Amino acid sequence: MIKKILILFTLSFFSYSQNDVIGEYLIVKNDSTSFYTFTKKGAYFSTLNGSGRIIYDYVPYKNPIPKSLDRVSLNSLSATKSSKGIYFLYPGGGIVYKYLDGSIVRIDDSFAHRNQFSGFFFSYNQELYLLGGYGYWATKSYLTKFNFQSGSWDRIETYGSPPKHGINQGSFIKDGNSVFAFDFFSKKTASAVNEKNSSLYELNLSTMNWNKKGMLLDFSEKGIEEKIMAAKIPKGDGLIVKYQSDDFFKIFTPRNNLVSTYKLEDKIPKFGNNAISIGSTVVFGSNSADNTTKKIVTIDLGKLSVDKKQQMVMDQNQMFKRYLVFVFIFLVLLTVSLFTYFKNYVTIFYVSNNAIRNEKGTLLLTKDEISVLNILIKKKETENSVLLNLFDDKTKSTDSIIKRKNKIIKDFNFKFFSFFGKELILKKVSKRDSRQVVYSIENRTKLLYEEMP
Amino acid sequence: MVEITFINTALFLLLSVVTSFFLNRYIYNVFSNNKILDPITSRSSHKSVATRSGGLSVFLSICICYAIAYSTANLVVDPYAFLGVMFMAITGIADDFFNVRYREKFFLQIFAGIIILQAGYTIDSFHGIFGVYEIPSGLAQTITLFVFLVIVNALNLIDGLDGLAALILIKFFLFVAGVVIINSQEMALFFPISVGAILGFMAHNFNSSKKVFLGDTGSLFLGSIVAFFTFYILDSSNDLVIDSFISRPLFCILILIYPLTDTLRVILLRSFKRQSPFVADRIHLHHRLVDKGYRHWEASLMIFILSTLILIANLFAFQFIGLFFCVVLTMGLLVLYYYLIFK
Repeated sequence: MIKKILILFTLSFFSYSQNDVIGEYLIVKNDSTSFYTFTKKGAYFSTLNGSGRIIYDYVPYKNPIPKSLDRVSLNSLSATKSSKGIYFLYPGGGIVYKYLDGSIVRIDDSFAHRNQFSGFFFSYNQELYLLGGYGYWATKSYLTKFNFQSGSWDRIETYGSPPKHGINQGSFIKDGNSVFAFDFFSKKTASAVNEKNSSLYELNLSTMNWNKKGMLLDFSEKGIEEKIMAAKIPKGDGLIVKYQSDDFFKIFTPRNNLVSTYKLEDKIPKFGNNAISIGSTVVFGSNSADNTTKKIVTIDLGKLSVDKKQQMVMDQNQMFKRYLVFVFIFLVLLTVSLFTYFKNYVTIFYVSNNAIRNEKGTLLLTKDEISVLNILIKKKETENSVLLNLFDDKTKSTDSIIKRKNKIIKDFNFKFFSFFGKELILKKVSKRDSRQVVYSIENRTKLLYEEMP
Repeated sequence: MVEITFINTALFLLLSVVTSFFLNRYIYNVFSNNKILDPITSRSSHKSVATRSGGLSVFLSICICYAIAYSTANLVVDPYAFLGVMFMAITGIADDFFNVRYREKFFLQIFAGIIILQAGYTIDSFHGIFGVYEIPSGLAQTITLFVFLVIVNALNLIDGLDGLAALILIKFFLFVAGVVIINSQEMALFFPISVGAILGFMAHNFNSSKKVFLGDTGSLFLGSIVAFFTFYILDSSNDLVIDSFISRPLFCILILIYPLTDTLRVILLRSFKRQSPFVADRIHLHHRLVDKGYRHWEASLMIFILSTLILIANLFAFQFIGLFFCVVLTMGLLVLYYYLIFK
């Protein structure tokens, strides 16, 4: 009793009820203020007035519904509206119906394909399309288009990177020229495992190009059974998603990269998968008290406050750009470090009995040059007199010996510079005695004797 | 699965650098003490004592760090890929110790390639190159195997200068890391581990007195990893962020531009001279730089910078000029580099 009172109270605040609908029904949006409720006997045409009340008109079908619909639950059909009218798709695809002149008529020349269950049935430019779905042990991501002339379905070629292993139980949003697909399962061929795909995809219908938009930040971990029962209601450029077990619902708006979470209070009737949205109002069926009939009721979402707002997808492009900047900095640092290291690096030269070499090449030396190097290797600084002793010759004057020594060192440095790009032997004033000259090997150079293998 | 953060990425990078650095030093001493030295021949760029222990050290470093990352549930690698790469590493070790004949090595490479293919990543699409997208499975596997052989051998061939292969590999792992990690974090830690191991090796590779080379172990092991990630990128079932920036095949060619162009050039020149494409000589582009007087580190760094510049130029330009003109741009830059620097 208390529950009934509560419901009445709630309905008076949030929703308005239509008449009782007996049996199966399917709610289909007509325009921004009206909708149809199709049953197996006739259709209710309902309009939401300015105060949110439902004004309805019941029209029985002029002709009985097609026989193929006899054993099919109406709410298992997919429906879409184009400027040509309202179309229904048989579960799994293939058979197409149209609401025409007060009757539901079959318009295809096809059969029940049964290979695109849970696919997205939509209209674009007055054409009917079916995207993705599951059937015959495989999950698909292909797009098929209804051929009004032949009454059959044609496969449409798409480009880019579609979800390769298909879309099963996905959430879809048609927004302008784009269809967004997300929160779905994929299954590899010959695999028994349904894998959750955590990315958002966009199919551009004008170019038929797939584009991966990013990774979902708010990714549902619900199992496939719960997804089958979930309510997915298009709302403007977004999609309302509500799982039966949740006391909240979310509105996904990929265009704005936004997910808004709304908390459903206990007093508000829970809506299921047979629902539509008109403006900010959700229209759905609610069980009557005795569970024999359903009432068409509404909730004005405008009266609910948003519990949480968050980004829908991680912007992978932005993330990759940031990563490229990091890589660039890393590579520059690596290059600069190597450059600095080698500029201050002690270059090693190997001296043999007739040459000096490093990785750059080998320079042949004269006996005198080798002798000079042999002396310079041994000591950090070599006094001039020591080098002069090397060229000591009793037959020559001191002046001549000095000139010879200087010439050998000068020629050697020139030869060495031409080959290795640096001078090897430095001449400087002795720190101990400023009148003395000393010779040394260049600071960042190390001479080693060749090890003969 | 532990969340991959900057901190644990940096920690694994550091761990890998340190492990690789000390392992390289230790294994160098083991090789050196046992006189397992790289022989100095007329083609050798080095004239001092050197060992071919770098590959083994890098392999062991990656294995140790991988084990730690795996045991802390931070890293998951496909077992087939792991097995194939291990097989290549063992082939490399055998080659470094016993000099496996080229035909046998080629057969073993094909075998390893077939194992890696079992990981499920193949070049199953041309991604719009020549207007071709998906290709039949048999053809995809054949092409993948061929590309595997090309990449592994190309990396083996460019391992002729100090630091060259290491720098090219670091560039590869850095760029590919971004593409792979954004798609899936399962293999995220593999990249800092690999880069760290190579950095640790580089310190010894540039050392004049105690020089360490990658050897066949390193080039085959790291080459097969490079090939695996190339297949990962080119497999159309992976939805990668790179699609928004550049064509996948072009990206793969650009990150390996130097090994691929140098190998192609060398094979063409040898074929022109009616020589076997596998004959050993000194006609590589990097040998030209050394012969022109550049030191090893200068030549390696120059090739590294130039090849990175081509990649960056294409990443920027692709959105504006498209695939065809990017190919033209790349060819133009390659010709320019050749005449300005290599010729």
